[in-house]
Amino acid sequence: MAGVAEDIRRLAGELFQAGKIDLLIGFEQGTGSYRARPVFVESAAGAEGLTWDSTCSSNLAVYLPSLFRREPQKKGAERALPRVAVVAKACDMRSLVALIKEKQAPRENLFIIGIPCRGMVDERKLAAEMEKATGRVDVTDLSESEDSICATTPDGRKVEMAREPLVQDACRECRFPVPQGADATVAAPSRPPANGDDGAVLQFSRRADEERWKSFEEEISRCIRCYACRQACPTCYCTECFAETNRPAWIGATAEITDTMIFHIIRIFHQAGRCVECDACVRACPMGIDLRPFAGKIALDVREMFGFTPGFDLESPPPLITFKDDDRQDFITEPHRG
Amino acid sequence: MNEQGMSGGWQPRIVAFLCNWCSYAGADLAGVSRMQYPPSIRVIRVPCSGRINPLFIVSALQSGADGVLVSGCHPGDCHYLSGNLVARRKFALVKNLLAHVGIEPERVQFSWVSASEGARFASLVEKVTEDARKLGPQRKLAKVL
Amino acid sequence: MGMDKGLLRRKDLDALISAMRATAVVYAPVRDDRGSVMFHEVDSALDVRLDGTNTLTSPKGLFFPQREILMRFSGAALTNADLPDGFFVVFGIRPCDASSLPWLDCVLCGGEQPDPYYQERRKNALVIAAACDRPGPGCFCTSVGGSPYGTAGADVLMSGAKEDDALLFEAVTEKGRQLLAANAQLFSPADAQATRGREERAEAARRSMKVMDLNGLKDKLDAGMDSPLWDSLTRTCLGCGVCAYICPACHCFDITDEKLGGDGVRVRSWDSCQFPRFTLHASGHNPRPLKKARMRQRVMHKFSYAVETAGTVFCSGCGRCVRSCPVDLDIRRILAAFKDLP
Repeated sequence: MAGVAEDIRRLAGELFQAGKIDLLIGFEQGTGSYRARPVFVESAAGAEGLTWDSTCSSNLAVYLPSLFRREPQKKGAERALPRVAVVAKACDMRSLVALIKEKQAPRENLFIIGIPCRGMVDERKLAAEMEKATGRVDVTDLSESEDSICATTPDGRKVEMAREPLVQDACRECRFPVPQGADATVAAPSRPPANGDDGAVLQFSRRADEERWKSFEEEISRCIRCYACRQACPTCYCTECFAETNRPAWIGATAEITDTMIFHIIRIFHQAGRCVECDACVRACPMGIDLRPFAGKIALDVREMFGFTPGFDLESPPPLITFKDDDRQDFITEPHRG
Repeated sequence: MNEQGMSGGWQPRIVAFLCNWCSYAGADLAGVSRMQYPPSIRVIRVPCSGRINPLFIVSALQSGADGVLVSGCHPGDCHYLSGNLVARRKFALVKNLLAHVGIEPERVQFSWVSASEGARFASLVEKVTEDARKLGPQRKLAKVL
Repeated sequence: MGMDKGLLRRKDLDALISAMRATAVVYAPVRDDRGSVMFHEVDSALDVRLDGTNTLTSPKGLFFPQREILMRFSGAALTNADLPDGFFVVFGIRPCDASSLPWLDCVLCGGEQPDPYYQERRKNALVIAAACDRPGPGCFCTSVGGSPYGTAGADVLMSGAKEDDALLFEAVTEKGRQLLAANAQLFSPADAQATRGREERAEAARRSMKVMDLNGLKDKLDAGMDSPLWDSLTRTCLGCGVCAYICPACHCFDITDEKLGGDGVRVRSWDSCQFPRFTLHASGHNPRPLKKARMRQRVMHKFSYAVETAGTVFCSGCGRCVRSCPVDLDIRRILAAFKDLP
């Protein structure tokens, strides 16, 4: 992992020195919790602090739409759009493609540094492991080697844990761990791709109707409507969200259960053809809500019904602005007679 | 809305979104032809089934509808050529997603009714009403103030 | 008449909770099935968790719920919502969270128009704080005037929560003294040894925390309204409301009407200065259009404006925003950066 960080720093330095980019979005060492912190770097000197490890889980594509969103410009006096380098895992790369496809970021202004991925460490699994080992969840420092993570507690104790059991469930289900279409790809090991046979969605869908509802309701009842899921999602880039408009006021502003359920159902629906199952929404949630069994459904259906997997090609139209004459319509109600 | 039907028992309330060019005219035809169908539906006319936003559907359920019916022109007949075909993709996803989280699939139904299909419209309303009646009042997404 | 302090054997905690439950609902930190510790109603000491650093969300919602119905209307008829009734006990709140309650009082009960719902809940509540022996790495109460053994906002401070067989209860207010007196049969006198143990633990807890010197921070912040630091330190902010919603001191709210048919309610709900719509005018103008302005507002409100209006900072250093920020923004960095300005 140290080698990956070095490669990123070197590449970033070269890009700045060659004057090819104005800005680089990557990661630096965090201070608050277990995670690495996203950072905006604007010079070769600033690139010195860039890092890479198993906690670089944020999907940095989330920052792009606002960088390229501008006030109307005076003709002839347009400000140039920034040239931005982004450090991207395979799933982040797919989000970037989805954003480029939807004209939220111009491809020619991006320099994408792809990182093959072994899966990111799940903070909650790490916390549970730490609690088992030390009776408390607090960690002041994390270091890692090939197959293990070493955490240091506030009183200086070191706890060594195997890496693989700590990897996020979403990463374990990842079918595309190697970024495709990056401008430069750093040499790094990647995990074997999963076959996508039996993920959280399928497991959930096998449960009985009422059980699914109970589980959905229970999960969503934890929601505090902080919108962290939406804000962390790269493809949730609307400047005005249906959840907050007041004319019409589609839903109420509080954590009332039907309001929150509708917020999540519709937000998930809006990700049809966009969601790359990067898990950013789940990681961002302070309440630990597992949206995967629900959010993953839309990606699964788009794939199965329309043969579309987001985040690869830039040419084909997004699945919901197009149609085929023989799209399935077995769900159409046929009345008894008539 | 009054929950008691003329029979005195509980009657489901169905919100029906009908496209202006086919299904609304089909409903009209059912009316002028004096066809009988349950008085359970409250019709909202939309310019095209392509106008349907999934928020319309869940908002109806949140406001206490026991069922939602969405109907447009048959594929190939759309007044705007392809509005219903683009909508069909959305409908398939919405139907599946709602069922996936545990809303009974019969609560939200989609169909095609042309301007000449008054009888089809009447029996469609019968079916959707009957399905909702079997399920009983919809409380999962209904908001209680 | 009251009692100042007493020792409770751990095994008698259940008896105390039962006694309190005779007249009140008891809320305490409880661990749920996925490992999050939050305040829930308890019926015995069995579920009460006092050993973690703090609860995931702050207990402010017990006094200031996220959704509060203020009025109901049906056609033209308008009625005020009933005042909340019933006594309740907030058992095992950390001193940082308890210290935020007087600040909420300032805002919600301080002016000419006290909030009757909040006020009623404050009146009906007994606050039993649990001293904090293991502050986490995100905690910074000692940097903002608090202490792991602080008593502000509490009626009773309970300590020795982990190490000893006995818990030391110290009454802070008359309400607290009454609780100890009413349950005198459960308590034994606190001897010198117990008091000394408490002092030692308090000192150890304080010493385990790094202290940031924030003297003079307000002046630096006031002078730095236009500092480029606001931009550089907040560029990665996602603009979500996690920090405000889990904060024990954040108290901003919105009032909206919710309507179904001819009936409706007027609702007060939490709001966050981090949302763009928080300051959006009806005209379409937004005085805080950028996230740097919004984060600046959050920090200035807590560390500058509150000092002017209430004479104190509105941050207890509970560390929740540090721990739960999805991008590790860490408010301590912002404070340190401004403190270090020349």
